[in-house]
Amino acid sequence: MNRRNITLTRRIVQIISLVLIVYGGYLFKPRPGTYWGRHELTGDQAVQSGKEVSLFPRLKAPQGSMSTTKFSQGSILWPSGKTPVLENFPPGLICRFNPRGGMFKACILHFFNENLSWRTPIKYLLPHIALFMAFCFLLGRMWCGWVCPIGTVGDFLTSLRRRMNIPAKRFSRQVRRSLRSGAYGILTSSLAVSAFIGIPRFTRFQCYWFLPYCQACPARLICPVFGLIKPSWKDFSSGISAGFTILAWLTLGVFVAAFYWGRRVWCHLCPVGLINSWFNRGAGVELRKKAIRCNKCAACADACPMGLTEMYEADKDAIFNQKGCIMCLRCIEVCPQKECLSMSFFGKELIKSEF
Amino acid sequence: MKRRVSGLRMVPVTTVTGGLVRSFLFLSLLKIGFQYPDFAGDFYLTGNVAFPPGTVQSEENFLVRSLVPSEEIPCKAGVLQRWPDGSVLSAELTFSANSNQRREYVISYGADVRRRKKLAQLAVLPSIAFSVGGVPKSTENLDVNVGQINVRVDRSPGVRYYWYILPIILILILMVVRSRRTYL
Repeated sequence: MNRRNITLTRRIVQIISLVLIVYGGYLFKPRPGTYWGRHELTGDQAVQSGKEVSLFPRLKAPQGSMSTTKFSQGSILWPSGKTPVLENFPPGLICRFNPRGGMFKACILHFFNENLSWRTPIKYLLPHIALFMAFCFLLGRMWCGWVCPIGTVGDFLTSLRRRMNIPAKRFSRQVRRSLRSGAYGILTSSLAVSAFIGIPRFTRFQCYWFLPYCQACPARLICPVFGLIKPSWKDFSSGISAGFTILAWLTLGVFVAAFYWGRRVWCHLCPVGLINSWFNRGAGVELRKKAIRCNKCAACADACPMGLTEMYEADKDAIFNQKGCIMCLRCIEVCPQKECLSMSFFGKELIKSEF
Repeated sequence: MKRRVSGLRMVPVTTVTGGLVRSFLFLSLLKIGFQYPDFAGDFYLTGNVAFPPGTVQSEENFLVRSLVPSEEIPCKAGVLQRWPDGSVLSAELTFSANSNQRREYVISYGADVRRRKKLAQLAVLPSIAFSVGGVPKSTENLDVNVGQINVRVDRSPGVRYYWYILPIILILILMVVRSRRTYL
């Protein structure tokens, strides 16, 4: 691939991914019915009835679960209650905010949250975890840079900022570390709440606290717009719902403001990106540097949307699959030194910097 | 997968023929199992009987009969435990038998059953324990037949999903090995 086509290719992939993820329900036939309304079969009963023969079992709320009472009434997460085409959880996804259900079910954090609350048997989770890990093993955090619709929206906001001639701020390593700690905080608190309301004694709280992160996710307010659904922008039916609504608006404000402050700021805070990053270092996609060819022009550090400087600072040949790297390949694109930086897939060099 | 097995109100019944224990399914009838003693003469048969919920309201709603000849046997009964709805869960039964007159005994129970003959336990006789439900009573335990039992049999076709552990472990190993090559 010509390095000058990298950004163009990435834009095309991002738009195709956005269309596929959000409008997949129009392109492919989703399963009938709505997700939240379909309680007739729990995991075991579905298997018994012979309807559960796929490699990836459908994960449903247990019968009579309080988690479904709220979302059947057109509240915050109701748009995400549509049946997707594929009930899988590949990395770099958002919910299926579409009247026809979208392509995939949701992000991996949604998967962990809801199944912790439903206390789904681990055997039904293993296929989805294996699929997610396989995708991450192949492409690492490239999903964030090339597929994630939230990242696509963020890149659009970044291009707006450029046109407005607002300079982006670069984050120090300390700030990046703090943002990453924040992502860990969001992830752990979300999982802790989900696990808590999964305890039989506390399941009554599921009608308000189910999917706590999802209720404050910026995608909740942004993506229904793409899916031609009126977002639930004002759910003040109870105190907790009102709290989550206000929190979602604050999150959206932070999300938009962050992209005017810097590039891909939200990706440092995103708990889904955090999970993807755990697989980045051993992923099949590798970013390599030949130190002898580097002239220390710092073009890669300037171009990096995540503000990473480690590659620029390195003085030896190495593979740079850092946890924060989203594999957007901007560094290769801007590098003026021939064959200094390159991207390879399981050792096979695919793209390299050119003079 | 779990499978629920339920059906009519069926109770396990045990019969004794010369000490050989067999089990059947019978309705509203319990056969009494015991072994005749080696000595010849009269003895008391005593044991505990459990009934399904809602079937026996008082100690008058069950009786002991011999099959051949078919006649009611005088017995002494006392309620031991009751179900939450007030019906009898278990009762202690005592009646007399003779080793020279070998008979098969059954317990009839239900709302329509009325016990007429009562045993006046006057004589001092050896006591032999009987069992209902196929498990004999011993001095250490008391076997209670609770009537309808729902059995969940896990055929576990979902076990095949555990095979996904193998690719997960494989990916984890590859990730760890490959991440060692990464700078930082």
